[in-house]
Amino acid sequence: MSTVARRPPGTEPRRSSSRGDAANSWINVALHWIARWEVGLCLLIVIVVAGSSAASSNFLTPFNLETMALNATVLGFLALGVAPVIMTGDIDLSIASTLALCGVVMAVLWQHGLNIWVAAGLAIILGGILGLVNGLVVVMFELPSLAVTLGSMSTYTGIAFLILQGKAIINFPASLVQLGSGGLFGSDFPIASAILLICAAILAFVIHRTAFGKSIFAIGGNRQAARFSGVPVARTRILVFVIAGAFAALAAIFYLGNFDTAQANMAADQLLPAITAVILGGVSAYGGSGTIQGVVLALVLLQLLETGLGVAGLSGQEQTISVGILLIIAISGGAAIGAVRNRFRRREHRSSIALSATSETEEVSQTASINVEDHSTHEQGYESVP
Amino acid sequence: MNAPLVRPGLWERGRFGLARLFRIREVGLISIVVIVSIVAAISIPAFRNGVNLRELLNNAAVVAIVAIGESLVLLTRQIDLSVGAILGLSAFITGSLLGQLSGIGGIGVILIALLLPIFIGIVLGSINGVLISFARMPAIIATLATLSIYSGLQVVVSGGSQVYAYQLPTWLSQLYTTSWLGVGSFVWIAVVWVVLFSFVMRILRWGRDLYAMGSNPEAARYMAIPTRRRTIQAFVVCGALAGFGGLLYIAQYGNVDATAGAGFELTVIAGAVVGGVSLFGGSGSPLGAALGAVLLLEIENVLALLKISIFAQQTLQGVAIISAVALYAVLMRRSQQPATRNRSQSDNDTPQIVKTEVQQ
Amino acid sequence: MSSYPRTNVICIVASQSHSDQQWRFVLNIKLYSSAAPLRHRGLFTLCASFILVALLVSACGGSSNGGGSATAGTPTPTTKLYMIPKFTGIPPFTQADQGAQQFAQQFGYQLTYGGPTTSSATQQVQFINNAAANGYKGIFISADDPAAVTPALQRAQQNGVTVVSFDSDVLPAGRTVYVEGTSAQQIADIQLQMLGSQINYTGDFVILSAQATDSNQVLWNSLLVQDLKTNPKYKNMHLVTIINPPDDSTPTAVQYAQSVLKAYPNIKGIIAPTTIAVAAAAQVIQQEGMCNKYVVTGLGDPKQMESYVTSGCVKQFALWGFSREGQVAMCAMHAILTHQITGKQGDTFTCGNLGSFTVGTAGTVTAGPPTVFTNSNLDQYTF
Repeated sequence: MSTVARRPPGTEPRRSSSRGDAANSWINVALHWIARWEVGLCLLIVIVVAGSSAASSNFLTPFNLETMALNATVLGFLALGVAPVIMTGDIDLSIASTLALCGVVMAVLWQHGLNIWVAAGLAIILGGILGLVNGLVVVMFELPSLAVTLGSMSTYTGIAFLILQGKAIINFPASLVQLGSGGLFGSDFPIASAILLICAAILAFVIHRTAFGKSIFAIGGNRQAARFSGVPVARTRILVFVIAGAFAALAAIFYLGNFDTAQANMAADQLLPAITAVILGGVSAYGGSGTIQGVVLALVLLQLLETGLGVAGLSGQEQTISVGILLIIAISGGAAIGAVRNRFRRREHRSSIALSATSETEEVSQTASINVEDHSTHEQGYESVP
Repeated sequence: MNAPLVRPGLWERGRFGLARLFRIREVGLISIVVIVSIVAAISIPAFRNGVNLRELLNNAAVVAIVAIGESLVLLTRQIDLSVGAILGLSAFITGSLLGQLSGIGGIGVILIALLLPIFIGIVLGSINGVLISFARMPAIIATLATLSIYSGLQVVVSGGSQVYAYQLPTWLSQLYTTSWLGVGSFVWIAVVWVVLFSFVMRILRWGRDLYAMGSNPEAARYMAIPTRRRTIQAFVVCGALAGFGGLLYIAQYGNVDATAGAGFELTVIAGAVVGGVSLFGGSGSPLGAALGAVLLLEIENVLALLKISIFAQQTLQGVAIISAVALYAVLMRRSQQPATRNRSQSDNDTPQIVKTEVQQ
Repeated sequence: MSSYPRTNVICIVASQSHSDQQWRFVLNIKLYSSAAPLRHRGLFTLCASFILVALLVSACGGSSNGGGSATAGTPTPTTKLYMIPKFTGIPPFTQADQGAQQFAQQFGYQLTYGGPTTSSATQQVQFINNAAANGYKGIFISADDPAAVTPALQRAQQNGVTVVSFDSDVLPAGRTVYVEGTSAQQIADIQLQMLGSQINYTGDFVILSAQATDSNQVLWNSLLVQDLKTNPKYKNMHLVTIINPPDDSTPTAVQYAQSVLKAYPNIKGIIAPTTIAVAAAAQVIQQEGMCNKYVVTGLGDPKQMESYVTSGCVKQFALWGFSREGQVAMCAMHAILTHQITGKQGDTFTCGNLGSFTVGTAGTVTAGPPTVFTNSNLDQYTF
């Protein structure tokens, strides 16, 4: 079923570089394995755990583990929700505000007599709608997602403030608090973390095993090409914003359960950590690659790192600085690895590219890929070619 | 194209008149600002109040100055989210140093007060620039990271203390209330910066390089524009202006603590966007950014005077950003020439799909 | 191409750029890039199980501080205590820390000070959890949001931590004792008195407060309102409104002070019960030359207010010793840790040369009286 254009003489269809010439290819394979992002994360986790445990016996107590798990829940839902958006090459800066607005609405509805779980369900629907608004404006008007979500971030927070007028709603029902901070079947393992892991598994299945997920990567890799390949670009892009909004609403439910208070600016400082977790998890900031497993690992790593730094005596602000530096190192390291890989691949390709009026086809297997980071169509990261 | 490309010289040849300095968009923006001012002045007596106008213009001046720097970065299709933290950090360091030197007077102290915050801004801005052009980080991630680093540094550097108003030299504290020819000093300072950067962006090749990079990065590279260097320079200038904003912050507030400048970047970006600086890059101007800041703060002022809940102002900022971006995008598409600055054509003049293969 | 579980879609977009002679391959992409291919899954699982094993081993073998003890530990010479302010960077809390440090050294404790940079309940919870997890036996806290931090404090208490709140209380279930700098009633009284004496006890005024969730602000303001209603001395004074800015930063306070003066131009004065708000309001009237038109008073930090007082713009403001508050809080913590008191009403404890203190209703201890500052005693404060 392939229609191969005529080839200039002297060239032949390229096989994947990982099965190519001996000398270069096994280096490639090795690099591909070692440079695989999740492996790096695992290694870092092991290092952090080992280092912190050596520094203090307080590190891995059940109390600490439970605390880390609870801390990670709200952040985890936010990060999981925004990961698909970043994978498609867009960005959503409004997730924390969506969390705040959905939480506020849920709290106000409950305050006016609605059952808390009904209010929670409505909050999730609201989150989806808020995400839908983002997606529609970005896709239909062809506006940069950075600008739109910057605007919607302020808008949603402002609406939350208008609703609450600066007050806070507290003392939520015990069932919600139990969900947010209670243990599973009476143990120390938080229910919230269990639900987070289940949602992560479902999301991983959707992203990595379904057609929808593949279209996400297609759009992130090359939106133009994806459109020509029949991928429903507009619909998918809107859907990922809806997912981000719904997950932000889920995060709001767990926030209310954990903190037992609803304020208009709740979780406002979780935006950067959520994006940090996603980027640290190996999702390319330009879109087109990354795994949900990586995001989960990055969440674990961030929690361990922050707690470990706290054990080592660093204050909260010094922890934030360290996380910022880690993010920079991670991305620079990733870029360096990518540049090294490109150097190997480009050497192979240059010898066989025919510089003539006709083009050449390539069959590329599962594993070979060429990154085009040096094409600056994504300078700002999120204004990609439609 | 058969003739070799010739890069324009350092100066744009052609008319040097006002028409070269300003483009049509600014005229529209100016008229909007004027109309809003007139309507507000007529219908809301409190708006006309001298005190109100003075406060409005002074606040707008600070936002405008930092927005000019931000617009340079936006023009190259980048973004700088750390300007608030740069402002705060340079304000704190300068303020504490001035506090240490509080007994000493003279020209040296004045020079320090003027140059130190700019220098700090340059250093911090160059870190941003290096991260983005050499480490290949997307600007949004890099500046989010540096935002948290610089804010953290603010706390660490301050060590729990703060700068007090009484420690500052009197000429600085009085700067805010000084007015020349009836207009506040901040406004004059802002005007100087606007004129300077309008000149740079329209006349000097450096400025036109930035426009080229934002409109069509590929083409800019082919034209031998040193894009990496220009990117770093844009961030350096942005940082420098943010640092200068820190100086104005000290002059205005006197008491500087570790949270100075927090959240300021959103106002700055909103002002620039409202003023027509496109987040796609390649269009907008420093004058536009400054006018956008004025317009944004003016509308906020009107809302406050109408006793609309102050919480509505944040909503307004968000709606203003979205509306401005949508409006300018629509206008740009309407007036678009086919091959210029259309981002979907930025890499190819004639895209051709040669083959699509599906392999099972 | 409806569903493609194992499909590679390759698309080559070739283009002609500026020069005729030069082709460029713009993009060559692989669209099935990120599912874990079969051969990598093994490595990933291996890695994950390694981590799990490591965690289990460490958890079982390494923990000597397993939680669950409900009694407070008796202090040893290296007992660690943690102080969490509403946010760091403003002098009142720094002074509270210094005061507490003095007595900490006397008692032989190690006091660590740390908190968020802006009022954030979420971050305070993280500080609480960090402290509890790292073996701190006591936590001092001034809460950004009482309801938000109380669950975390309760968890900490269950893990053997003693909690003493100061300045801004949490919910009573989350702490043993609350130390207030000076009695809330006195704060309300003195602010009204300072304002009233300057406006001849007649006229409208506005309260420029802090975040609406600050429990101490809420308490003081409600007492002030009550005072206004019941005390005949203030019968000609009228409170127009209470303003709650959304955050505690200086620019916001200045912005709100400016808009207050524009929205209510006929008021006689502003009461600002936070150090930030009172400095902001003073700055606004000084910069606008309205010192003779409006009276600004409230709770201010002497250093911050110095330039406004020496210029005559602000005549009076009040504060209490934050350093003293810290000292009393530390004494209370010591008393609890050494089982001298349990936080019941009527308990007493001593605090060095400050004398003895009694626990009042709802576990509240008052540290001392407020001080009114004027131009004459501005440099005499002994914080």
